[in-house]
Amino acid sequence: MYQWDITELQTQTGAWKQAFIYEGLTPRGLKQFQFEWHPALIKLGEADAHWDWRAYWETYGQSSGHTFFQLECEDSLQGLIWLESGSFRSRLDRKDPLVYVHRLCVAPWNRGAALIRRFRPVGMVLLRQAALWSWDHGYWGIIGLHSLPKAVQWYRDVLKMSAFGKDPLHENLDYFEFTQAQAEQFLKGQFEQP
Amino acid sequence: MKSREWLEKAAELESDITPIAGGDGIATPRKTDRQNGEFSRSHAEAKRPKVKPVRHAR
Repeated sequence: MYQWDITELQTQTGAWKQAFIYEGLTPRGLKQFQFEWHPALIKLGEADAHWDWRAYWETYGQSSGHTFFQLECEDSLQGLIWLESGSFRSRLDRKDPLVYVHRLCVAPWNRGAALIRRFRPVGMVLLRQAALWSWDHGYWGIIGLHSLPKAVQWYRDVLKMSAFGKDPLHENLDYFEFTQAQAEQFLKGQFEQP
Repeated sequence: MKSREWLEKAAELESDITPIAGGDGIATPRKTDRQNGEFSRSHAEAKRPKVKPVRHAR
């Protein structure tokens, strides 16, 4: 496991805490997912409660093209993302190669459904990590992902990612992409731009 | 843009909706992916050594 970057997350009180992005998933992180996240996600009735990150990691963690990152703050796992590069292409006309986000998941206590939200912006930091990874590996920041139904509005209306509608090959989940221009705006923090 | 500025704007945006992404499994929410029979690739393939460049290694 490599430490990839240092960032910050904001607490409920507005204070900022140092956070760490690691490449790869640790046994401690997987244990925390299994025994803390998983039961809490089931309790919250979240659509991703059945995701098995240990299985993803054990199966794809050493595979070429697959990359996992975990975000930690205060020695606790706050978010996970699983990327794949080299196998996917944009659905736009140019069909540029892109980095596909297989999974993006934030801790149950960092979700809108949580009574007290511990840290933010966990999902945005992980998405930025995906765009940076894409940029650094020659994909110009272009990423693609399928959104769970509850998050469609966020990808479409807040981030203004390019929307391709429901994908019948992926359980009719909505598919989105960041183009190069959109990724640049996102990385620059120009979230309001169309 | 400085990182803190980016993070502050991102924190404002990430207010009520949680960004979650993933391509499958919605139809069987009570089972884990492992129980659904996915991830049957060989042990040998899963354990293949991984070599990749590292940025920002500290």
